[in-house]
Amino acid sequence: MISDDDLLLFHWQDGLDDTRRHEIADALARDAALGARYARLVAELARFGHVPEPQVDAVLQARWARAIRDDASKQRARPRWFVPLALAAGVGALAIVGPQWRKTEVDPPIATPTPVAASQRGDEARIARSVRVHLAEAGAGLSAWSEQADDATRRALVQRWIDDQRALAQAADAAGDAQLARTLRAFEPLLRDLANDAPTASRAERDQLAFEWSVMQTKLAASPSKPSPSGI
Amino acid sequence: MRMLTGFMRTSPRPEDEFRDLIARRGARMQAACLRITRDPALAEDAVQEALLKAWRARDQFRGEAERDTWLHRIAINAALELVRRRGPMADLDVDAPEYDTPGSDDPAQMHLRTAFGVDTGAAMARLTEMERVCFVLKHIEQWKLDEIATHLDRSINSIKQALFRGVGKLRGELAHWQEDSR
Repeated sequence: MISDDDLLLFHWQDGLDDTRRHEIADALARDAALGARYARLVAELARFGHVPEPQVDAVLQARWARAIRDDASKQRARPRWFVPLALAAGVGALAIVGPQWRKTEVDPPIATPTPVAASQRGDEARIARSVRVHLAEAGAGLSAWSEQADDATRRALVQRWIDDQRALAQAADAAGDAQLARTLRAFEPLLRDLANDAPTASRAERDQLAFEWSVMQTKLAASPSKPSPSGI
Repeated sequence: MRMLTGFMRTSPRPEDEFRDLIARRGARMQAACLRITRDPALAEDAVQEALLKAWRARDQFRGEAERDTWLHRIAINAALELVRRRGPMADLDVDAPEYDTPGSDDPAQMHLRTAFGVDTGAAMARLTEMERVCFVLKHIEQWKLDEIATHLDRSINSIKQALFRGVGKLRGELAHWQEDSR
């Protein structure tokens, strides 16, 4: 006697030993009534196995993508000992760049013509303008830090600043202004720390960043069209 | 500024690849987890947990197919774990639910209809949690009996019995529909 339970396991090819499986296969081959019972069972199972194509929920997918992005940010986070090192690097970069900016302000503009193509100077001017706009936007965002809706919004904001600064640094490299590129990149560790510490970012951390940005903005405003590769 | 950023970024970041993965597989995983949990919030959490695990292990996969299969599997595992945390699975029909009509607005039954289709969802509401989970894992997800037994911490025989009972009830419901449609 072959029960429906046996036929079920036979259909799933699981839970029967070889001997029993062969017995059922033989019986199905020679017993038409059993074959009909089996066919009916399989048809019914097929009906229960057919599940509808699920609908895509865009909000839900955005939530999962955000979870991945947040995790990616955490993975990129540096150890805590990196904070003072990054601060020192940022200040160091400004210390190197700073005197050259001052020098630019006092040097006669016609001292030494440099072989920079007009289009390259145009690129540099455009990049400098973009950097000024970026710094103004980011400075405003930093001032309104505590007014942001939540930590995720703050992290997203800082990530946008990082993306913008990377893009500007690449553009500066492409235009031959390696110094501006280096200066922009020197801010990234500070920004990363700010993103990682979003819930607890101290006032001092934000003030330090705001100060360094304002120094850079002042220098950019003071030398809008320096025609050397290092000028901003 | 945003245009410049978009223009300058040339190579996609790994998390961007996962955004594509979510778009391709997310809804299917969510539906699979909903069939296990009957609870949309738990199903969403299970998928998110699976995605994060896959993200953290992204360097270990030999290809997209391997990753997708693994991801679906761990989403199911996560859903099972969340169901376990919710409490012991009901084995027997001490509180057999009332027959679910297709128009029923009970949230749990509505979720079943979303996950299984209107008719099948109604029939699934007649199963105990153990019967439903065993049926989903065996018949829809095509797990082996011994895997199901291991994951649910039951004997293979008790898994078989839950399946026999569940399929028996489902076939009974099918007969009911066929009579109604005559």
